[in-house]
Amino acid sequence: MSTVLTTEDIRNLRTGAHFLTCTIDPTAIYIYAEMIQRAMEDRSLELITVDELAPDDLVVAVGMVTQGLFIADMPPVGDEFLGCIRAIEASLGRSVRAIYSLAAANINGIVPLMVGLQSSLPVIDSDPMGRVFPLISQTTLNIGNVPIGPIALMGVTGERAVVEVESPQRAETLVRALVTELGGWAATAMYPCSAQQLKEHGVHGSISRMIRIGQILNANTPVEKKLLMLAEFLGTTRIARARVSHIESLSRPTDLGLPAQPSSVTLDDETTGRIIRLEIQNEILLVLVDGAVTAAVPDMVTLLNSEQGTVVNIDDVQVGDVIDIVKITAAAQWYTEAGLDLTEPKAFGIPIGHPRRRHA
Amino acid sequence: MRRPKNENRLDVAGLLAHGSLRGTTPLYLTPSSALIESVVLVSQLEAIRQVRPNTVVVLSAEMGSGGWLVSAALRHAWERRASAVVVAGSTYASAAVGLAQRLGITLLAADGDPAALALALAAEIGAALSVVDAELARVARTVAKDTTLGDVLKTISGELDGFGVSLEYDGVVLASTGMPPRETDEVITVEVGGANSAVRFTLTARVPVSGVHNLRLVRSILEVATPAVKAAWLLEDLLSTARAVPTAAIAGLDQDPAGSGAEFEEKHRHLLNQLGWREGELYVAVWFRGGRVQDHRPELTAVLRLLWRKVTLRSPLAEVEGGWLTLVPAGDQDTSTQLENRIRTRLGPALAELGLVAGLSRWQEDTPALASIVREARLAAESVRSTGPGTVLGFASLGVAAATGFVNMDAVALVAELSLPRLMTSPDRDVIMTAVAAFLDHRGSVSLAANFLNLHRNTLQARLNRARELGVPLDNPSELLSVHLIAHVLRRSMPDQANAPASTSDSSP
Repeated sequence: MSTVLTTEDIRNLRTGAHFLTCTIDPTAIYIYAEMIQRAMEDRSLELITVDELAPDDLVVAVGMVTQGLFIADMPPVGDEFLGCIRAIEASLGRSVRAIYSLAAANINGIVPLMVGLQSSLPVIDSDPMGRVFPLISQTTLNIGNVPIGPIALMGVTGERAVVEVESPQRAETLVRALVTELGGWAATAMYPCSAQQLKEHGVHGSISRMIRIGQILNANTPVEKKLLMLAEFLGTTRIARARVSHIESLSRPTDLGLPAQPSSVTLDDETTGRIIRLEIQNEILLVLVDGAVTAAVPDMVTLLNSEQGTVVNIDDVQVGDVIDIVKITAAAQWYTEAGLDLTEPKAFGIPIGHPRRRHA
Repeated sequence: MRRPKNENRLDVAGLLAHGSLRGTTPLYLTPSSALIESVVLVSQLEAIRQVRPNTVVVLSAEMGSGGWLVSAALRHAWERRASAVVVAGSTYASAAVGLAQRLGITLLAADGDPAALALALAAEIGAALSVVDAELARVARTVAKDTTLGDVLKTISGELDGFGVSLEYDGVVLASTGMPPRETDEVITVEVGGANSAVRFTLTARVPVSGVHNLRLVRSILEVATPAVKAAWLLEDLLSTARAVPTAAIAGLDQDPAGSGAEFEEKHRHLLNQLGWREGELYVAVWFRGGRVQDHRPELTAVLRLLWRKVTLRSPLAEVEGGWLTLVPAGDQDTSTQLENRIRTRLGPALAELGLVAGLSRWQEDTPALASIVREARLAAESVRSTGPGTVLGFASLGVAAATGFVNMDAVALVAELSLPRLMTSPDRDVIMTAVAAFLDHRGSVSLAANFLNLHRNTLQARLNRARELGVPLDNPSELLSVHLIAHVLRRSMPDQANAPASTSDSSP
């Protein structure tokens, strides 16, 4: 059933997109949300489910790929994504019928709405991650053997590239190199596939979930009630409420081409004495409670201000802060053997298997 | 044993002070120094999940030294009860040290290459173990010199600072020495496997928990001593079998139940003399047998012989058809009574555990024939089978009552079932049979029986009449013995004997 989104939905979506990432500077999300809300004054934005498309309709994922440069530092001109979609259409000789987001959180959770407004294409309420991952190969479409290419990229200077590639791992290398050359970030369109393929291998309800999270967090209700509603809606568990005791950066060696520096935060749970350690790179990859793995990617871990229930940015964490550490289970596809191969801590250079992986 | 045992015990504090851990920087030390028995150099976290307790876990340099790694390693090591975790020297966040403190596990930083430290530590542990091996070889030589089981156990106990050491069979202590057992003792058990591996003989040491003892060394000493235990035991059993031949002969020769004991003695006088039996010597015969005939385990003879040594060392125990027999010299009645009491107190619980009973012959001044006392003991043993395992009974306290021991209770119950159907199906059967039994127990006196049952005379009379109505032939003298027997058997199977005030043994027919 298609839904026409309102500006209120965009406000909630912004909060939801931030909640599910938690660790990253949300400035770009806010900029995009504001642009979208302005653009909606004279255009309507349609959110559809994948079922509303014909099975062989061409759909494509849109999203930003960054390599060291914050998007807010050098904002896009505005035609980058349209250029990418045109390049895909030219490459495949077919028209794109709808777009979907590359990730279900952070900036890539909100970008497709802007693209939808610009292109008048409907936005599908699905994505290939069900959360956000740093690598473009870390998708459920990859698990389903859906080709990642051709990939269209357009950078800040208006330069455009189309990469004809099938292997997502190889695409990763090529795209990272191109993005560096294109100026630090690039608008991309990738994973062009049929609506049927997206239906079979995607994660569904991603946009509406972010809106619902925003509705809960933005409502005028007490913090405890919000947390309860979130727990009910997302199945979240609170790992601990603890005080930050130590922050270190560059806590692990990095040679895997991952687009961020590692760091870690140590917290003390003052009621039980437990020592909690967060390992971070773009996002929280690993939570150790007294040295035991309590949450690990692909689990989502988010930090909440214990008094206000708002999302805490990792960059803003300071020694002495009391924080709720919340764990959210990711999409079911990620806990299969193939899913864990792509996203468990080992994929991020931490030689620990996910606790859910069956022991041989 | 005490000195070398303490010298060989490696611990964290000792090795930090003057051993291979001297070159490390303690990031956290537990208040009590942990024992060190082995060392592993790991290059993967998962490997820590397999280490044995009391192991020093050394993280190799290539694993890196991130705080998360140290945290996870500490956790795994703690779960495996490792002695300490050694990490490559680096600056460590207070958080990792805090976790070591929280988990109570020593955390050390190696100043040089952790692999070199692991090698040095392994060499040190190997040297300590070789001293242990030499010690074990000495223990093996010492116990090999002992020829009796008692001496072997005493030597083992001596090597273990006097700890309690015992040989056990299915939980029954066959022989023991050293400190008496206490509930808090740490029990270390080693199998003494026979040719038949299903037989469960164990050599057990009980180590007081208070002391700091190397339990693995205790186990090793037991294992080293096991062959000596087996050898000494087999030798003793062999000698006992030889000594028991004269006893076995009496039971074996007495195959004519019709002949009297005196006739037997007359017939075999020469042979008995040759076997060493002297006329005019007084004996008490003791017969052991299983509660059920089919419950015969071949190892029981050896087990019973060890147990029998708790009563007397002089009289050998012979395995005979239908049980085990021994003849104990008893010059007077007191000696005989003491013997019975000794068997009851020292063997009773073990016999119960093994499912055995014991019967003794009467002591008689007029030098009864050996065959007679053997028959008495056997009868006593057979008649107490129904009383349950562990019972020890002298023929003297049995007398003619032994006869009831041979009545087939099941057959009598079946006779009652078939010949007295109305009584057996009657709802007041138990009350009626109690009345009949009391009546017959008191030689047909209604007054005495009513008094015994705390009933009015007329009530009892009414119940007896009811019995007659149900077909119980109370008025035919030739059938009374059978009725009495049936009453006796039925009363045993009654769920509640409260309606029969006197105990059944007093009122047996």
